Amino acid sequence: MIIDIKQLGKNFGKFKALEAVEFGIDKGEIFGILGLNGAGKTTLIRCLVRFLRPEKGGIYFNGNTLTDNDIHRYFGYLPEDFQPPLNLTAFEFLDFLRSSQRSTISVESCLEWVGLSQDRKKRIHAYSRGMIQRLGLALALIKGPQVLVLDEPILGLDLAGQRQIFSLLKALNQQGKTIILSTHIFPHIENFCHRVGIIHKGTLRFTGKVGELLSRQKAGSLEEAFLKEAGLSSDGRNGGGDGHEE
Amino acid sequence: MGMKNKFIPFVLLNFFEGVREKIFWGVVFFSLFLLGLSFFLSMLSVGESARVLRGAGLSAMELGGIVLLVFSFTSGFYRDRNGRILEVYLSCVPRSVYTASKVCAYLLIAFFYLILAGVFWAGILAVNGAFFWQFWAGLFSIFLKLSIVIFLNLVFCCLFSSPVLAILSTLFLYACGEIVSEAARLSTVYVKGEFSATVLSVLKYILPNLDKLDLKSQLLYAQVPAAGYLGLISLYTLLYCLFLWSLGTWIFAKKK
Repeated sequence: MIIDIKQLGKNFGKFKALEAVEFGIDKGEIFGILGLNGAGKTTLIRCLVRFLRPEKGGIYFNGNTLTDNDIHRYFGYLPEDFQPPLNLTAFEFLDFLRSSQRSTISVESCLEWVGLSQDRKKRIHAYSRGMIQRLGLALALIKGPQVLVLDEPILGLDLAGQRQIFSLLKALNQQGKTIILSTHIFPHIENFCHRVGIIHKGTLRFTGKVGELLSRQKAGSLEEAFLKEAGLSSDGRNGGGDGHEE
Repeated sequence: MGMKNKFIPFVLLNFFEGVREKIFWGVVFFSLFLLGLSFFLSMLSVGESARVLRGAGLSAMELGGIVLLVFSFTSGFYRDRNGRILEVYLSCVPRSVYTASKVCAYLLIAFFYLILAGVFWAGILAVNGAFFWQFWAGLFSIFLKLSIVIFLNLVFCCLFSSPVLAILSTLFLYACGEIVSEAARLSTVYVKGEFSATVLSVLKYILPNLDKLDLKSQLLYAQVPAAGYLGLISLYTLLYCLFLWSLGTWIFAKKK
């Protein structure tokens, strides 16, 4: 197991954002964290990259407590809805970040992967949201990380952009990279992630393969299974559920 | 990888980001306008035009520098934070490297700004026959003051979640730093209560003594203080900035 999360708890004042979250991720796995807005996905991701310090529990990387140094060396991170410096070009921005890392990856190849090589000399303020999202992925890749942590990587992308990102992530996974991504957009995830974790109101309701979730909830789709697992009715309101609801 | 190798690219990143901002060029032109204005002021001061030109020019450059750095630094810092690019940076470098690279980039911006404004001012002085080679000491003293202001701004940006509060606090402390020595001196004469005099005296040691870095009054007469004094005020600035950086980085590391 490359990452092991044990009894993770994070509070914001009296609000419990995460409570006793526990799961592991294998090397070379694609793990999807699914949940509604405000479920705790981003808090979990921010704890995972040590941007937030949890009050309880721990995160382990290759059997040892995860440190800032591990994050700097082995983790590539794309935050949700981020805003890069708009007055730089994509090439300049990536080049500065690349110079600060032990990377053997060239800026050109990184831009080529995400389909931005044609626009590398444009200032970022001329980029669309989808292009900025792809630049974010290039930022996560520039240091050649072992683990990619992506918070809503397909947010704001059109269908073609989403497919491009997924095929790129699949190719990276085939090279042995571990990918952790959070999303509330379910199409594609079904066939993309090796395992998923469902988070709802700060607690982890399920971890396992999508097929296991579907058969457990006797559902025809991931969306339906998710709603049942989270104890929500088909219109998204609190339903009877399966007893997991707080 | 050494900290230096992580640090320099981040300094350059922040520097280029800063100088390409509209606010940078807006304030540069504002300062050049103020410098131009000092020329007209000198024309109105018959017999004292050279001194007025020197004094008003130095004040205009200092004012422009303060406005530039406080607004630009604050907007850059909060943009990183609110735009969540800070999270990407902190996944690459330690927090101390981030804060150090940010302030060093703005020291470079201050230097760049002073070169631009200094060349323009030297031109105005030369045209009016008021040029004096000691003018570099004026630029140096402004640079020292701006350095302290940048580091003060870092502390307040790390401390507050509101950029307006960070700007106002920095400007307030800058003003306090300019008058604190004089206030402490006057308190020994006019303030009767021992407690108030002690408070002012303690404040004098805590707050930056910016008046000590001010060389305007000597430079009006084209005089430069002794090298030892310049060395001492440089050392004071360095130590004070190091203290502020440590404080700012500590707050930054503690904040969620």
